[in-house]
Amino acid sequence: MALAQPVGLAVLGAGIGVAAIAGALHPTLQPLVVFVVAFPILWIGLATTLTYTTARALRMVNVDVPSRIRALSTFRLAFSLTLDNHPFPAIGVLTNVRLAADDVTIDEGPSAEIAILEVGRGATSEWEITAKERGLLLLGPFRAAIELPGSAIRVTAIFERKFGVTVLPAVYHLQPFVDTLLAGRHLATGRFQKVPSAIEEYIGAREYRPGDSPKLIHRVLSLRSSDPNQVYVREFEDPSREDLSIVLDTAEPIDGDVNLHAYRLEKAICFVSALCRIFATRRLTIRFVCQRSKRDMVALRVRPLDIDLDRLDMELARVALIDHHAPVKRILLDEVRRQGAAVIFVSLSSRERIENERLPIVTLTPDHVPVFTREVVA
Amino acid sequence: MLDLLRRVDPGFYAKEPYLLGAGAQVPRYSEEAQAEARLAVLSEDRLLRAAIVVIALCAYLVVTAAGTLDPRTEYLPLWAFAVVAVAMPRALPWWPKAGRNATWVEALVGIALTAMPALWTPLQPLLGAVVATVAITLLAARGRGRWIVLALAAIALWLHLLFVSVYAAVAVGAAGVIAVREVVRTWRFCPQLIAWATLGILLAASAYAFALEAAALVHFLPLEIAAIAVAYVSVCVVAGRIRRAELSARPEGLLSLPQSIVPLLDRSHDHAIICFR
Repeated sequence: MALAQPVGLAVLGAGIGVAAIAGALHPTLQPLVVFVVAFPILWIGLATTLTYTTARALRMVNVDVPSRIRALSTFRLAFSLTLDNHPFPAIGVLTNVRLAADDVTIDEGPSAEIAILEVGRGATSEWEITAKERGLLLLGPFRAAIELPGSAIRVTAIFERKFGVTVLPAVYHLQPFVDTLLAGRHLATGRFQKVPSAIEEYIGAREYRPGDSPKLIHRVLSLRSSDPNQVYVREFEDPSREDLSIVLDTAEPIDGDVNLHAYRLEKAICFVSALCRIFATRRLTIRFVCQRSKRDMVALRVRPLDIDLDRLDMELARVALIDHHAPVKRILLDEVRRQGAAVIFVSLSSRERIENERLPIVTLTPDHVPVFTREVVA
Repeated sequence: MLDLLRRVDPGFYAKEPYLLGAGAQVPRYSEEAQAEARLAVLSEDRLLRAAIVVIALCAYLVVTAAGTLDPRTEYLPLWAFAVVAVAMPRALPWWPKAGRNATWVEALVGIALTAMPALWTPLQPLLGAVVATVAITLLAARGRGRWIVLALAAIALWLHLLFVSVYAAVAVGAAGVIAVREVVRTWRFCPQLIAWATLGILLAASAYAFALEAAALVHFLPLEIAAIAVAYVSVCVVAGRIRRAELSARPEGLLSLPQSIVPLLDRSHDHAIICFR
């Protein structure tokens, strides 16, 4: 609750005082003086009371917000209000919301106006929000301010609920020649085998796609389907084998600008996400590894399944720079020792380290990323 | 790979944050721009203008006892109140630009206002002089002349009070200067101040009339109560219209804060969160 217009109230108060004193000296003018003084007081009193009771009667009904979004994409935030047990409708309700990302906060976002909110009915304020920073975006508390004309106070109803939106890395669109990263190191065109070998395990079923072997059709599931033309096939994979290891460098370089390294990390994360997606669509199984903190290593097996790619993006949304170099070196050695997989190291350093040059890996420095990147898919 | 490396700009990463203007905040709208938008809405509002004219005319009826102040002794307040009631509304910043015949129309309104009591009271030669003075003054109220005329009217009222009570005149003068200064300084950003100031002016003018013209006022009490009631209702209308202008002129804004990290190829903005209404 805040005083609406201190200067205006002072002017009005002085006016009322002077009029009352001047009128009191002339008893013959009593009816006129009483009316002149009483009307503004009654009006202000009524408007102030209505403003206060209306704000008290506001209720939050619903907030429509997605649980996760992509950085650089826009989503719609809808905030619904209703008015309970009040004799008059609410007029001119101004709503806004607090938005907080990792290091930035907008305490009062742009106000959206609800011109009139009738008793027992709902109304919705909407905003379009673009989050550009990866991580967690917090929405809330929501506020609804009312100030009827003539009210001495401005009352703000605060709805304390907060909603978190995970901002996943932006999706980069990569150049088609990204396959060259695997040239001479691994079969980069995907799996050719159409039937499972003895070692492969059943991992699930999916809809039939042209090119699938009829031997893989899941008869029971296909017969259960409500659509007679819908056929499901079983999927198998070799649990012991990954086609590709992608290692993300999260170590803060020893020298240089911290902001520049943070900037490079953002790009590297988006690039890794896009790289995993593009190789996954080529039916390669990827092992993604990065160091999240000194003792916390993330190792994900990314199969060509949406659930795995989503899990990867959720992990990438939380990755931050660490100030230890040793774990990243160890990870690289471990990955090289694993048999059968090509290793791509997405580095934050401008130059490839001498010790890495000896390893059979592809090192992508920040200078390489723009070469493979075409645009951001919003 | 060598071929690819040749295509790389080695300084790309170092340059791009600066190319994108990262870290610099770009204001999308300012308080001043919002005030201008609000003023544009107010200037298109005919109901607001009509309400202000009604307030001015009703206030004139109340403080001059329907114009029946004795022109032999009260010629100064009669002239000043008539000039203020007619010239003041058009001096307000949201009033549209005056046409060629505006001052003639104002002069005619001034004549009608001041000559009105002649319809029901005996004709006095001095009233004719006041009517003529009002008409001439309003004809001179063009451009900056309008402000000079209004200032002269205010000074005339203050001098009239000064002859009656020096202390009251000094106190009212000081309070008036402070109030006008504050309101003029802040009304663009808090437009609802206009409604409060209008109420304050109405009350101050009424107090002036109560103190100095009580003998004349007592004859027309019902008419004055009716006039002040209409004026108050018009103030409510003004407050409502200003509130409407405040809401409708609120920009469909974008509010954002700068970020130091801008993902690759994003050349749209340099903000961490962008929020549109």
